[in-house]
Formats: sequence, C-alpha cells, structure tokens
Amino acid sequence: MNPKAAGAWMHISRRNFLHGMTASAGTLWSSRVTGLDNLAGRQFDCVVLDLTSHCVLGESLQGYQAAFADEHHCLAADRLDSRWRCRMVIAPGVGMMDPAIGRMLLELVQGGTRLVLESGAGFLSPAETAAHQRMLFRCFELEVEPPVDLWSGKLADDDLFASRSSPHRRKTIDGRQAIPYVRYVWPREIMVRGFTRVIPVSAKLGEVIGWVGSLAVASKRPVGRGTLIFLGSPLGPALRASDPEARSWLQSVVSV
Amino acid sequence: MAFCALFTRLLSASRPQKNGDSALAGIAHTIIFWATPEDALRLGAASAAANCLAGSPGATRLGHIRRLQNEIRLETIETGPEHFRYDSFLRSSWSAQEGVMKKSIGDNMIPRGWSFEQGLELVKKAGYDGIELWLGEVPWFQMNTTDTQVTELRRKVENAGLVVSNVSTGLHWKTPLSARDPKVRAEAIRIVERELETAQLLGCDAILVVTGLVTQEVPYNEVYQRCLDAMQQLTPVAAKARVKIGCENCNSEQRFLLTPREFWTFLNEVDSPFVGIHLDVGNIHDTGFAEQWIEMHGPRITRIHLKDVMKKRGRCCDTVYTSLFIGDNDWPAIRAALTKVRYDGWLIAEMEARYRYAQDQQFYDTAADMDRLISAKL
Repeated sequence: MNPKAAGAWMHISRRNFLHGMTASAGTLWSSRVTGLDNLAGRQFDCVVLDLTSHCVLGESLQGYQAAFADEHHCLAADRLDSRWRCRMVIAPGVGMMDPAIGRMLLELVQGGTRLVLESGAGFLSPAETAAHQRMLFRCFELEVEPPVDLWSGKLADDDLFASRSSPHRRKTIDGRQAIPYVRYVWPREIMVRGFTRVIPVSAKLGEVIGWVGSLAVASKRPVGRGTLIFLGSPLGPALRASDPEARSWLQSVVSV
Repeated sequence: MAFCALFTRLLSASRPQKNGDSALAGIAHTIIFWATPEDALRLGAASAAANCLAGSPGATRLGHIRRLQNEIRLETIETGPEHFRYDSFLRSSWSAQEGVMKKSIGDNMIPRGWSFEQGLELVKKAGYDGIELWLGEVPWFQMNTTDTQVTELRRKVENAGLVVSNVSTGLHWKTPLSARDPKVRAEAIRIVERELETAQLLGCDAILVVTGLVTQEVPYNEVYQRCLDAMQQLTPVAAKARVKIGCENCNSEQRFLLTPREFWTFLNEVDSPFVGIHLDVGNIHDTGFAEQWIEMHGPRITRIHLKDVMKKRGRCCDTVYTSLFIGDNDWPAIRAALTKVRYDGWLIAEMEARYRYAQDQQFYDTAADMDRLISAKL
C-alpha cells in the first residue's frame, strides 16, 4: 500500500527526524543510567535480597542463590523499590534491618508479595538478639524469642574428646530429647535439619508452619494482599549443602 | 606459575652466573608472568642450552631441566593431563630436599616443665633434623606470641642446630573451620593465617590444618562446603606467603574425608598447588591402609606424621595409638609406598601415646625407630 495514499505520510524534514531520534535515544539512555526506568512497574518473579552487612549468614544467601540458579534476581536491599511487583522476595540470614528497608518490604507484602524472612540471629550476641527482636516486631509485628540451642547438653563421652572435638547432646524439650530436625507442615510436610540455634516464633498472629518438637520456629501470616513467612531456623545453609528436602520445600513455597 | 618458581630456583642454584645468565633471568621473569608450565620447560631447556654454548654453568642446569622433563612425562601418564600443572610442580618442589627423608618431632612432646631451650637440646641430641612447632599448645608459641618472639624462637632453633620443619596446631578442634557460627569460622581462619605468617617467620614452607569436623550437630555436606570455602579463601594468602597448607587426615576423630579418594576429590576442588595433605599414617585406623593413601596422594603430601596404631582396640587417646612398630601399621608397605612416590620430605614423629616415665627416652627411641624406617631395614 502506498503510505501517502493511506494518509500515513508525515511531513518531517530529515534534520528534524534526526533531532527527534537523537533526543529519544538520549532520553532512553539517561533514564537507564539514572535509574529512572526503575520507577516504572518492574516485575520480578523471585528476588533474593542481599542485605549486605545486615545479612549475618552469608552462606545462607549463597544457599538461596545456588538453589534458584538462574531463576531469580539477586538485588542489594537498597536497590529494591516498593513500587515494583515481585511475586516473591527472600531475605536470607537477617540480623538487623534498616527501618526504611523494613517499611519497603512491608509495602511490597501488602501489595501482594510473598516475603520469606529468614532469621540469622541464632549466633548473635544477647544484645544483638534483643535488637533483632525489636526490629522484627517494629517492622513486621513478629514476636520472636531468644535463640534456643538444640545442642546445649553434654555427651557422656565429652571428656574422652576433651582435647579434640566436642560433640553435644541434644537438648531436651518438654522432657523429650529434641530431634535435630525442623518439621515443616506447610506447604508440604517435610523435615530439614535445624541450624543448631533456632528462634522460636509466637503463634499469636498467623499460622505455625514449622516445628522443632513443640517449639514453633516458622510461621506464615497474611499481610494485605501478600504473605509474610518467617523462618526461625535458617534454611540457606542446607540449600547450600544441596539438601534435597530443603530444596524441595523452597520449590513448594515458590510454586504455591 | 609454579614451574616458574622452580625454574628461578634452578637458576639461582647454579650461581655465580656468567653473561648468558642475565638473559636467562629475563626469560625467567617472562615465564613467571606469562608462560604455561609446558612453555616454561621449553624456554628453560632452550635457554639452558644457549647458556651451555656460552660456556656458563648452564650445562648443569640443562641436566636438571631434562631430568625434570622426564619426571613430568611420567607424572602426566600416571595422573592424567588435568593434574599436570600441580603434580609436576609438587613432586619437584614440595620435598624438604632431594635425597634422604628428614626427621622431626613436635615441640608439644617436650616434657612438661622443660624450657624450650632444654627441649631443643634434647631434640638435637636425640638426632632429629628439625622441630615441628605447635601453635597454641605450648607456652612459648601462642596466638598472642608476637612476631619478634616468633623470630626469637627461630633463632633458638637455629642455634640448637635444627630447623623448623613446619607449623601445626590443634586449635581447630575447638575452633573448627566448619563451625556453623560465622564468628567461630572467622576465628578459625585467623588461626590458619597466623600459622602461615609464623611459618614465614620461622623459615618453613608448610603448615598443618585440621580441616573440618563432622559432628552430630554439623552434618557432612555442610562441613564439606565450608571447608572448601575456607581453603579457597586461604589459598591466596598461602600463595603469597609461599607456604603450603597441609590438610591433615584425622579420619576417625574428624569423621571427614574418610577415604583417600574423597580427600583427592576435595583437593581437586580446592584446586591450588598451595593446598595439599599432611598425611598422618597413624590416623587411618581401620578405615583403610596408610600405604594406599601415600600412593594416591604422593606429590600432594606436604609432610608426614608418624605414629603407630592398634586397630580394633577402641578409639582415641588412651588405647589406639602407640609407638612405631608396635601397632598394626604395615611399615614395610608404608616404606615401599614412600619409595614408590619418591617422597623425600619431612617425617615428623607425633607420638600421641607418651612414655609415662623417662619421657626424654621416648625422643631417643622414636628417633632410632625413624632411622630404621628411613633405612628401610624392616
């Protein structure tokens, strides 16, 4: 078809055309450089959040990255934007969190994101743990207790190994010897090895999805249009060690 | 890179140099930064030949290089081309010196209450060539021992007519590289770094590290991954210090890397000429045979710990370890394996079973046993 006949012909000089093209290209380029395009509604399926110094278990972050391989975006927390649409965000090995990042994560959840918040507080000092507890409550209304050491007892043959390794006896919970596994009951029933010191979570709000004996160590709670999942026993190290159950549980959470 | 170091060593071995050697130094410099091992050899041979023509001491060097080339061909056939680079380097440079194996004993064997100087005198009198220094296990060598104090230790060792064979530590039993607590792991890394630093100060080129501990609490796969991470983190430090990390096989106590093949795989994954195995022939217990470990790891063995073991008589501390030739190790087979892999490095006595009385006598008896082992008259 002759474009002129169809009325599609525009009267534009070559100079104006070139000016226009250059300007458009420049605008596109500068918006990318300055990050303005981030403001647009970018969409992610799965984001693994790198909290940098606030991630106290680096191996946990690596575990999630390894488990997702190429099927995720790993972003530094300060690059995340609450206007984005993320189906799932994972924050591994959380120690402390900048309140602004906490607010942004909450906004994302309210907008429909499924947020997995993995506590890395098991090995923090008592003061750091207290700050961690306050942060979780302030940002997410999560009530957690100080870590419980599942291996705090002493084996009968500890003395034999005095100069060598020091294996521990498992702690007793409710008079029974605690098994070293977290039993997840959602989204599928599965057992994954606990990470020595677990953070019990209150079951007041939401639903308990993981137990060590009678200790609730994982929970989920609807927040706005999204879901907040709290893990009191880090899963990342098990993912890093290629634990098949840990990977299968994560896959289930992603595909729910 | 490894070969280049060797090549420069060959160069320096035949000083004083004549005119052609300045050109050789230039070539060596080029090799250090650019050449592959194969190229290094070719360049080395060519330059040595050129030096011969110039009438310099290059003739000797050419002989060295040709012999080295023969060894490398043999090694390539034995282990496959994928390990060409490391194994050839290791075989030719990890040994203490060409020739006879040397005897050493740990300073943690020095009877309680004795001073370091008294201990050194005993070690020398008993006929050892060197001493192994145990970081964190003796009062004179702790984590907080300063560099100056470490240098002073070296002076004392040398004044006694000995050398430091290597630096070891048992600190990783309490502070393992495989701990779940990141702070403990950081401390464990610092211990290895201090071992490397002190090894440099003490003039030796190998340290011992207990790599990781599998426990009921910390499972095998986690330990493996963390140890791999730790070794990869430490490799550049070791390379910079020119000190090799020998991961000890503490099979039964560590419950980690239980077979020689597993250990081999681990070292392959670490993939550094600065990480090898500090082989303890007494630690293999009833999980294998020391001679097979020697055969399999030959060129990667940084040092050898000697003790005997009584199999099937319990584990650890009280009952299982004993003096050489009393236990169940097959010493003729071990000696033959050492010959087979051409190990000519340090043998270090680590007698976990100590004499209850006349403790100094154990130094003499063990030295005599080691001489007998070295002489292969078994």
